[in-house]
Amino acid sequence: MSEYHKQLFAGFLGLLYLIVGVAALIALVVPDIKLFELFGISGDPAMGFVLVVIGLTLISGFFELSKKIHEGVAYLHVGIGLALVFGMIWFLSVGAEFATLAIFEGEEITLEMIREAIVPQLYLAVIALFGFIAWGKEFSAGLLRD
Amino acid sequence: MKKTISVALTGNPNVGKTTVFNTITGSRQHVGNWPGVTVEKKTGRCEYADTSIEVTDLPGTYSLTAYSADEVIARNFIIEDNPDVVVQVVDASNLERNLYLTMQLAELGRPVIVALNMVDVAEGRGDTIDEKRLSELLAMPVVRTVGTSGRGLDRLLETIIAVAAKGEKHTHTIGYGDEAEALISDLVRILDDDPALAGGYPLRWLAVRAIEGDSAVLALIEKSSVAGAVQARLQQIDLDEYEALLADKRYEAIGAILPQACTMCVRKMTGSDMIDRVVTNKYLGIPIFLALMWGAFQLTFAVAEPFMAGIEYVFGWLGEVVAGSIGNEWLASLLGDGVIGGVGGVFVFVPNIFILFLILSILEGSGYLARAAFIMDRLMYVIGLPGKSFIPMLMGFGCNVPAIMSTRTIEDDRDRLITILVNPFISCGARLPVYILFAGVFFGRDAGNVIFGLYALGIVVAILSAKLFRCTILPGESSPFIMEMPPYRIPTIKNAMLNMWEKGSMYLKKAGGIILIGSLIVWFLASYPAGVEYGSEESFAGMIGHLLEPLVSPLGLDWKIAVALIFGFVAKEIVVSSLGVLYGADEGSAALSDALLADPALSMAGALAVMVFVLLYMPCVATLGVIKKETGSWRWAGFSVLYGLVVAWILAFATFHLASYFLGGA
Ligand SMILES: Nc1nc2c(ncn2[C@@H]2O[C@H](COP(=O)(O)OP(=O)(O)OP(=O)(O)O)[C@@H](O)[C@H]2O)c(=O)[nH]1
Ligand SMILES: [Mg+2]
Repeated sequence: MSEYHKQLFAGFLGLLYLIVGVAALIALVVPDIKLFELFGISGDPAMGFVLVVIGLTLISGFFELSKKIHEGVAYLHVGIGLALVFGMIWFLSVGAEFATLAIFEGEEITLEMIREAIVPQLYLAVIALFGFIAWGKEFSAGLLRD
Repeated sequence: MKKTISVALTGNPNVGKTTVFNTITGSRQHVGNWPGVTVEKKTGRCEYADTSIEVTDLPGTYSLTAYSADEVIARNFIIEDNPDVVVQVVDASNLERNLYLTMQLAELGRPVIVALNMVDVAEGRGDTIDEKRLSELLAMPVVRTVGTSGRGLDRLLETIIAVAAKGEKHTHTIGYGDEAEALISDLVRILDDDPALAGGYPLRWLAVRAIEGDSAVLALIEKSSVAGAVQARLQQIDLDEYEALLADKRYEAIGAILPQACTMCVRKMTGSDMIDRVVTNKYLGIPIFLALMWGAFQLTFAVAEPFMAGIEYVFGWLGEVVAGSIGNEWLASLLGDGVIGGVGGVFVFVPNIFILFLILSILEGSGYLARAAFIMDRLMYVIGLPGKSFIPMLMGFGCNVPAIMSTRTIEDDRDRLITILVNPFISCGARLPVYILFAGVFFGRDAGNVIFGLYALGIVVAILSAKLFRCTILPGESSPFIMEMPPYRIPTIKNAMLNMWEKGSMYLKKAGGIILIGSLIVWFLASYPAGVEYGSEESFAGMIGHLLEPLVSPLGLDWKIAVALIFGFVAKEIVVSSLGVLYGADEGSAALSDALLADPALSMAGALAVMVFVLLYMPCVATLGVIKKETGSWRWAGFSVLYGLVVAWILAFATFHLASYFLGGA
């Protein structure tokens, strides 16, 4: 796939992360915004910070690629990597929480709880996963060879 | 009788010496993807083809000139301990730089073997290395190896045995040109007059090192009977010029050898360089680092949860069994309050500790650790410390003992001393149980943020203290940051698991050993003199606590905490186990939580003060021991205790009063 696709992907995903990250920071100050709740965004300084960082990394990639700087793909790959790492962290955390509830506290995991666990950190990582599937091999092969 | 061959493993940092050592000897020494992991010499044995081989793994070194404490260890071993065979482990993907040391080793007149390690990386990249040709050119045996998979290690052992059997000294050295050679042979002739030197050292090497101004060699000559003659000869020349000439000649020789023995692909920007552009980016570097730290932190807590619940469940059940089935009241109290209450309280945190070490190990194995040091260099410079000092800080999150040992790679003595002295403020894994307990009880949902805040406070206090030391007792310029960036690697699962297990099991052993003993002592103090109510103010524990109460009451704490803090000096987890014993919480930590919450003497502000105090108050016994060992004096160890206590008291006092004001006291 061409560098152009990578550029578009970096810009698109980066913007999403940035918007959602900023929203999570806004939600800190302004509670109960319906639109935010719909997307599982709640006020969380740490999470907001992380999302913004991932967003900025990807957007840097977009700008470098648009300036035809080939090395800009590194921002895309690191951005995707970070997105996946944090998606995984959230997935493991929620999994652990559910396991504790179900095994030791005898609670049932309701649909509502699962819905609440689907936060931007997780669903945006799924989008990032597509990028990883498309270009991950090429990149990790390059990393090991060089 | 079988023969024993002694072998030294030397080489540049991060080339895989320890990996090779572990595979050959079956040891489990620490391996990490950054330069300076090994800072001590470690010896192991292996039997191969009826021969017993004693292998010594050494810290990495770029040349035989020793600047830092770890390099001194590496060099002294090779020169003074006279190993039968020296094996230089070489990074095949970075031959040029590695061969500089080979040139120096060749001058030692010892049998040298080159282990061409990481050939998998070089091959994967498309480089071809003709090891036969290389062997001819260097006049040393060359063996291709892959430390991680063990490929070629049998051949290495065979070669070691063959070389040792021949017992030939290596005599092929590079020529430094007529003028320098004349000087060298003059010096050799002079040095030869002292039998002590001639018997113990390769003279050509001594002469070369003397010309290069090696302080250790000059000191050696100074003490010999030929000191005057050597001085006189050296004064006739411009030493700096010769020093540069010798180095040039070595690079020239390397430049001549390399193209004959290997072909390399034209090097573009490598994948590692590309990633570095991002993670060490001027603006993004620090935010990415912070985000990753937060992620690590999140994992340590969240993922441990079900495991902790499981352990708690088991100890709760044990507590019930003990309470229900043991008739003897005394024994029931000993087992229930003392053992289960104490050790159980600490055991609950084993999952956190394991995950913490797993994450640290992945961080190390990937190569990111070296980047973190690089990113922080600018900030560290402001404090007056080199970026290298940041690595011991990060390692301190695991345990301060290895962290303080890792300062050996810091060349400047004052830089190193400052780095050692501030390390105890970095919150180690043993303090985590205290935070989880108190933050969990008093701060509920905000526990995570509170704990993150404590870690940050530790770093801030460390940094401010470093600045303070720099401005007062240990003035000086910080030396520039020089550190080779290792290539990124996917951490091997085996290594990560091994590291986790080695460190984590130490925590387990501590829980079963010193913490158990500590708990029993506290139980004894809480139960006697005979006839008093368990854990009451009339018990010995109560008496000790009351003695100390005036000191801790300004911090919003009572006598029980004072007793726990005293014992926490041995190991910080004991703070938790002591409280478990004193509050008689023999049903796992859930009960301890309830007991703490119900204690009217403790408030949210008080809980914060306890955590701040435990974070800062003094290094544990093991850390104190290592401070003494690394600084060489009890003076600095004593200083770190006093300084820690003062800082902890002041900050805990401030925390308590500020928190009381904002949180409204109790
Ligand atoms: N691909 C590959 N990696 C290796 C090989 N040998 C070692 N490594 C990796 O290289 C890194 C450094 O290994 P160590 O054994 O710690 O190196 P060292 O020479 O002991 O390093 P210091 O003690 O810091 O001087 C680790 O990440 C190892 O997993 C090899 O043959 N191939
Ligand atoms: Mg090593």
